[in-house]
Amino acid sequence: MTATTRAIHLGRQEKPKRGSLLLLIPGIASVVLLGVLPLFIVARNSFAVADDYGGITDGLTFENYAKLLDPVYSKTLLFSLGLGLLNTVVCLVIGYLTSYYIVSRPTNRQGFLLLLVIIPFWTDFLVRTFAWITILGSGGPIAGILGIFGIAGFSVIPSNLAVVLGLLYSFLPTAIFPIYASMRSIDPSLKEAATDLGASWWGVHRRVILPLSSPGILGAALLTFIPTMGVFVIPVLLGGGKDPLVGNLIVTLYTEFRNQPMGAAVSMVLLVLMLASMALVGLALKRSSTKRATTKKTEA
Amino acid sequence: MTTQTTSAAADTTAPTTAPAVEIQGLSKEFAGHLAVHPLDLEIRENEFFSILGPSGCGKTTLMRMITGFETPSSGRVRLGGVDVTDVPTRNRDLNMLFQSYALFPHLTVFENVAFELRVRRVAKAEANRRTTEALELVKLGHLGDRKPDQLSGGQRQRVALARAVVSGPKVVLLDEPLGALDQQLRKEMQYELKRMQREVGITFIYVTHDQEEALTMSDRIAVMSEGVVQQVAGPEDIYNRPETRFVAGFIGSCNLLDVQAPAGAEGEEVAVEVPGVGALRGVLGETVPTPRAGTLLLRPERIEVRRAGEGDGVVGVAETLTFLGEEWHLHLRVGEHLLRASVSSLVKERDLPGLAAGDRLSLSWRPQDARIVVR
Ligand SMILES: Nc1ncnc2c1ncn2[C@@H]1O[C@H](COP(=O)(O)OP(=O)(O)OP(=O)(O)O)[C@@H](O)[C@H]1O
Ligand SMILES: [Mg+2]
Repeated sequence: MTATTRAIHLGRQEKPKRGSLLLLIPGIASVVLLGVLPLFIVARNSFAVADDYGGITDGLTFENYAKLLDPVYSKTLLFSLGLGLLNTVVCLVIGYLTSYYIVSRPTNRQGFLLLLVIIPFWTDFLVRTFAWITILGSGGPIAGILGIFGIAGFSVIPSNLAVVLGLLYSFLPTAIFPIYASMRSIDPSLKEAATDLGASWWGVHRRVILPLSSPGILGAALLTFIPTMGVFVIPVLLGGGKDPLVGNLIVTLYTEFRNQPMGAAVSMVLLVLMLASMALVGLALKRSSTKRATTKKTEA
Repeated sequence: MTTQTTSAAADTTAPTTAPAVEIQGLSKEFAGHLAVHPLDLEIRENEFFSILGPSGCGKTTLMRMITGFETPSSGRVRLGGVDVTDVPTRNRDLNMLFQSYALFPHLTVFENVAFELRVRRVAKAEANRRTTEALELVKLGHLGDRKPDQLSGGQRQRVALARAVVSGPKVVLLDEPLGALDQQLRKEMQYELKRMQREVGITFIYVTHDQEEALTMSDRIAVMSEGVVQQVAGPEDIYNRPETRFVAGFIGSCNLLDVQAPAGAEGEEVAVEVPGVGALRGVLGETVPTPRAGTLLLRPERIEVRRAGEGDGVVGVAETLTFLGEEWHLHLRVGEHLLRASVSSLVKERDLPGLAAGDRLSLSWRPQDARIVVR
């Protein structure tokens, strides 16, 4: 313990050498060029005025943001928020249970199970989404099986149900990994201790596993919620594009409508939402650790 | 019925209380390997019962079957006369103290101790009162607000103990609870545990591989080896009257000589021939129906050492002499055997002045101190 603390302490005091600064240049340059600069341009554009062809002209206006209140846009925003929330909750529940299942397997089996979760990533996302069209469509296996029982004409393509299934499929691994990571670090004897002290399956989870894996759960929520709203392939392919998500909106604004300032404004909203939810999660993590330290005072 | 009562009354050694834990034919097999052979045990109420054995002999597995974490391959477990073999862990009236403490890192010390009362929905005021009491019992009343990672090893141990006893279980199982503590703290906690066990009046089943710990703390000890219980007895009997070669060798230091045990009843005085040494006197540790291979067990401190010629014992040559403060350890060459003997510093100074390596010494012992066992 002391050795580690001292090491960290020393690390802090050490002055960065000139050589190491030089080594950092490629990293800093790519972050600035690929991250900060484009972001800055998008932010700037969101306050710009568009010319007749959708190009950026100078000017400073809040009109782009004001227009977002228009039902056309706000409906998409609300629908995305709702779908993002739904997908996050479902992903967290299934991700939690799956992670718990994997963690309770013998260590040498866990790697294999995780591999099963990863394998789909080796195929292109677009290809996998097309696969879902086949699975859920009129010529797919589900329709075939139902056909045997005399239920003809099954197809959930296009529909919002298919979108939800597609989103769940895409984001489940993203949810599983952070939860698995934090669950794996929980000492298995804690579960036994809780059982020994009278806790049921639900009690063990509510009082021990859930609170201890909350960093992973919050991380998973973050990685699922915002990206869900930015997805644009799934609503088009599986939902027929009837109910677009924010991601679709951005694409449409930039390409079809050629309204760059509006597209930039929507992008900024998504970014702010992301930052806000990150701040919220950070706050929740901080609260939960301080709250635990003070619970007893109020009870005693 | 009547005869049973009279016989029980006549037999003063009969336990006065009902058995807290009864184990019958309990065994555990892991993938073809029998970790615990079928065994019977009876642990009395309020007893400090130790399970002693080397690493890997199945102590933890036995404990885990009693708590219900592990499903036995065969046999039954009874708690206070009730068969709990098929009762889930959480409904068994016992608690386990884990070697790793297993304190909940996200809960305060107070909430850790209160855990079982919260789970069992004890009224809040009552739960808090009992938790405070339990914390006071382990002298940690002032640290209730801390998190486990802000405690020292010894303090964590106490919290785990308070958590295990707060609901007043009938039995507490402790799996090498002091293994992670340093020597000083170990001694302190041994005393604490014993005090608590008497104070609270709970049956303790205590797993250890430290023989000294088992001898000093226990009412009775079960010595295990490779999944087999070798002997169950009080500390003095375990030490002075070991029933098997393993028990004698594992507890304390003991000379083990291969002999041919003659037939005879338990306690019968016999002479056995040891090649290269001669005929040695001893008693049979158990009834031997027909002669068979056995072991003569002889504790070093039970051997009386004199200058050769003074006695009529076995003659040996001192090979090494080691000074340990209160006593001397001698290695004595007798024929092809090397026997260990210990001599108190007082006796050495008084009776064996100027003793040096190479000296010829005569060794003798009372017959009852040399036990012959066949297991
Ligand atoms: N889950 C398991 N699967 C397979 N084998 C096991 C399992 N648990 C224990 N064993 C084996 O059973 C035997 C007894 O193990 P156990 O943990 O009970 O020993 P122990 O007496 O508690 O040892 P120690 O003093 O080192 O804790 C060992 O050979 C061990 O390898
Ligand atoms: Mg063990």
